Amino acid sequence: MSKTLANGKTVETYPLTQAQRFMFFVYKQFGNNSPVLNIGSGYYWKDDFREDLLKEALEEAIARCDVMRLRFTLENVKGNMQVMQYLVDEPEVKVETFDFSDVPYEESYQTMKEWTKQLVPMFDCPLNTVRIIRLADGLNGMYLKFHHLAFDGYAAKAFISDTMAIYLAKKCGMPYPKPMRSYYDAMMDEFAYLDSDQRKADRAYWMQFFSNESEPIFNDYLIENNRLKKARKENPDQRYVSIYEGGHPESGTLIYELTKEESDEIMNLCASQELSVPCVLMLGLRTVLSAFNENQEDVSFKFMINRRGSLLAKKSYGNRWHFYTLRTIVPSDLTFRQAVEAVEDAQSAVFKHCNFDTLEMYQVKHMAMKAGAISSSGTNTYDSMTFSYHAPQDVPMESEEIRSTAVGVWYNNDFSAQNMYLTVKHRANDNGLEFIFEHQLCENAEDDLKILYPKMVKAILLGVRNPEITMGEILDQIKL
Amino acid sequence: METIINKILEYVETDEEITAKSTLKGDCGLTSFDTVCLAEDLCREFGKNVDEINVRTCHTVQDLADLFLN
Repeated sequence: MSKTLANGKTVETYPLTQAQRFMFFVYKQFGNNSPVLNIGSGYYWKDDFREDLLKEALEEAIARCDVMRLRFTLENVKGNMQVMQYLVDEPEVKVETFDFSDVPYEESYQTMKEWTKQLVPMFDCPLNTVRIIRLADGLNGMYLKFHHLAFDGYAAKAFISDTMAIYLAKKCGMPYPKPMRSYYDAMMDEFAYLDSDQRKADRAYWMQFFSNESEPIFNDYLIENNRLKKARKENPDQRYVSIYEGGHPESGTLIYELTKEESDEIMNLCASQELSVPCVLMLGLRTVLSAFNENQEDVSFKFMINRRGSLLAKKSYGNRWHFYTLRTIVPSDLTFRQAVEAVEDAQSAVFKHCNFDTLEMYQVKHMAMKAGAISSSGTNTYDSMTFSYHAPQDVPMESEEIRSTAVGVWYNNDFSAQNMYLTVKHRANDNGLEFIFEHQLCENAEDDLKILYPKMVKAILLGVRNPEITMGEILDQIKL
Repeated sequence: METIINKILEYVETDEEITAKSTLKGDCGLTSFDTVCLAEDLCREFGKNVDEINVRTCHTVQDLADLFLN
């Protein structure tokens, strides 16, 4: 289809990709007044700051970033109003400077958090905000507010990396970054998949997978208010619970920072023993969920797959997130190493078929699952939470000394589309691990997460320090 | 081997030379997801079934090549 713009130019319009459709579906659950599609982040450091060069760098990074030119529109498609997307010639993103250098850090943080919460008109207008920020104590850098249908967390970090590389090329002659890739090409790849044999094969895989799967079981992260235990008072055999994720998007956030020493220990031991870091983290999570649910061996949760494999996928920005369930059955006599391998195999099996979109996967699940089981769509679910790991992305710095001053900030907008979402990412200054628990407000959630986090870390450290320890031994040491 | 190395270069930007001895994660910088996608591409190239391939045990480019070239 096509659309004629105000300047008289006619452009092609395209439907949302599958990943965008899912994100928009989640957003629509909350009506149009929750800022769940706003991603706010900041990146600051201390150097002999050159605001003029950062402005030039941001403008060049914006010009290299196709999705800055992305717009959404509503179109009547066969009688139904549908969200479509198109690319315009100019990004129309103006880089302004805001000086908070004589304002306490906490106050400037709250201001930017408020910016992040402000709703952005979605249709036929620029979607993203890029600002240069001067903070107290000599910290300077950038504030970014991106639209979640145009950027995911990976893409936001890629924009920061590209900007820093350009800034350092201008400031100290470091190599200018290689070109970014075309969003249009990546979008066409996504559409080509829809008519591909690969999609038919993926659909057949999931149909067979769910047909053969035994019914999973819900493992709650809530202790006293364990929702499966409550449901079983009426139906002792029930294995799922009903959680209405669309009811109360207001969320609270708990952030835990693991020390650099313990983070390095985990990363180094994983490297030396060839253990996958995200799988070790997911094993830690599934182990603590097991401990909270009478050492249940069968544990499921959702995990985010950012689908950034090829350079085209890595460097074309956009939102590529798909969400799948990671289910593992880990007997207590397995060693930690064997359990990591079990998680890795489960993850690889999902990865092989994860281009199949999340919403359709639920439909297939619904059709294929055995009688009595449910599809985890709507309000019924076997997954109490969602996990995502953000691997370190290279952000260039002038020196390690300056890197040690760097601060990466995520401005939580206090609205979450998911019941409980754990993000594990690396700090900007020392690469240490940060655990961000974003939970919709419900009774005792924070108290229980304060118990969950240290037990998760303990399970991970016990395992990486001694991969031959059995899961039963770890469960004994983290029991409630 | 050249096909495999060229395919790896569609996944990572590196100025280092990639050889059969290069490790997939350490030297090439491939993530677990990259490795699975790469294996999918190679399955299409060499006519294998992706569900019958397990790349978890592949540590070097040579290990990966052994899966497809033998």
